Amino acid sequence: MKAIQVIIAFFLTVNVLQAQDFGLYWKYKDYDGAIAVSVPRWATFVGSAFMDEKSERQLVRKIRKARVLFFEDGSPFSQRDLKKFVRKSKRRGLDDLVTVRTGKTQVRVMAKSRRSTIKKVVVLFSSPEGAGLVTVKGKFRLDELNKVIEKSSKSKKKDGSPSIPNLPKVPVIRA
Amino acid sequence: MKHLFLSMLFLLAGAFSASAQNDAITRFFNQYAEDERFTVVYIAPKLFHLAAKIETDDEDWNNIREIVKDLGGLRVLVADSIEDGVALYKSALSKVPTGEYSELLTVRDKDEHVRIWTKDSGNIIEELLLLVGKPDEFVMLSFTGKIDLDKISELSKVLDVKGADQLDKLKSKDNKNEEGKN
Repeated sequence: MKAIQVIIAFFLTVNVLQAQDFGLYWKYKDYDGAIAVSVPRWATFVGSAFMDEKSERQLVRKIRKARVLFFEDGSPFSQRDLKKFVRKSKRRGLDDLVTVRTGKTQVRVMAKSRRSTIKKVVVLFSSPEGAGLVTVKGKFRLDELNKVIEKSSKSKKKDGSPSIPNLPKVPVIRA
Repeated sequence: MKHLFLSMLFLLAGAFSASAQNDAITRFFNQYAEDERFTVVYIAPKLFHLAAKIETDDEDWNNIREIVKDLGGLRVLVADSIEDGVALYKSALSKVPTGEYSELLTVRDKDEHVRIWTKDSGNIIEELLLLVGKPDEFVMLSFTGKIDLDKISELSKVLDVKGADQLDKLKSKDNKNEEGKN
């Protein structure tokens, strides 16, 4: 009886984990040439200890889970899977932030936020040179982001470089 | 009863025609969204809203924050190595619902065509549409939201988008108007 409970619990956990990345990570992570990294909370916590800046350290500690899936040679993602991924993401509360397409390169940034807290950020990119998916889950309050931006802008101002973060730079196609 | 029915019919017809006009611009964007000659950028209102919530002591950032806080979204369609830039410009021009938009600025300098339209609701500018056409270049840029014309040209410094520098013309136009008044 206990074994059945364990099996049910295992399958439920697997399903929940798969739901976090809407299937794309789990479908493609075992593909040939895939670099798949899943960073648990404890690892980000340990990693943050090596950061000098307190505000950055605090922000990194807010990461609950991060997943990176990367392909070096081309994109194995099928259009059908990408569309399915976007559809599922939107159904689960992720909103588009930025979409850029230039030539065969596509970048899509999505986020889930509630009031002044960002709960999840998803970056999906594909190009002839490579493709990938980055998902970061956590609870990032905007005032914490403020602190990091403020710190980095102050340090940049000392160098004389502009402090305004640039909006997406649009590369121009060369025929 | 008849009056009520007729007024409802007019309301519905008005709503449909407004959305159809808006759709003309959206359709034009969508038509070239998958065309590899073009670069397509879409910044969702959510990003502007999130950016506006970020408060720092930095004066430069606060200036930009003031501009983006009321912006609803940005769509850009750019191509700089095409052969039919002017033809595309004319095609886009024909799709602009002139009844809904008011022309703000027109420049024609040799082969370069620049037009800026705005869509107003009372004293508030709800949309700014920029079209640039050159023989080898085409730019279509659409800002939505509450737009302050004095400040929007400031965004051209931050936006590294080809054609966004044309927004500076708004500033020079205002300056010329003020000089004319003096």
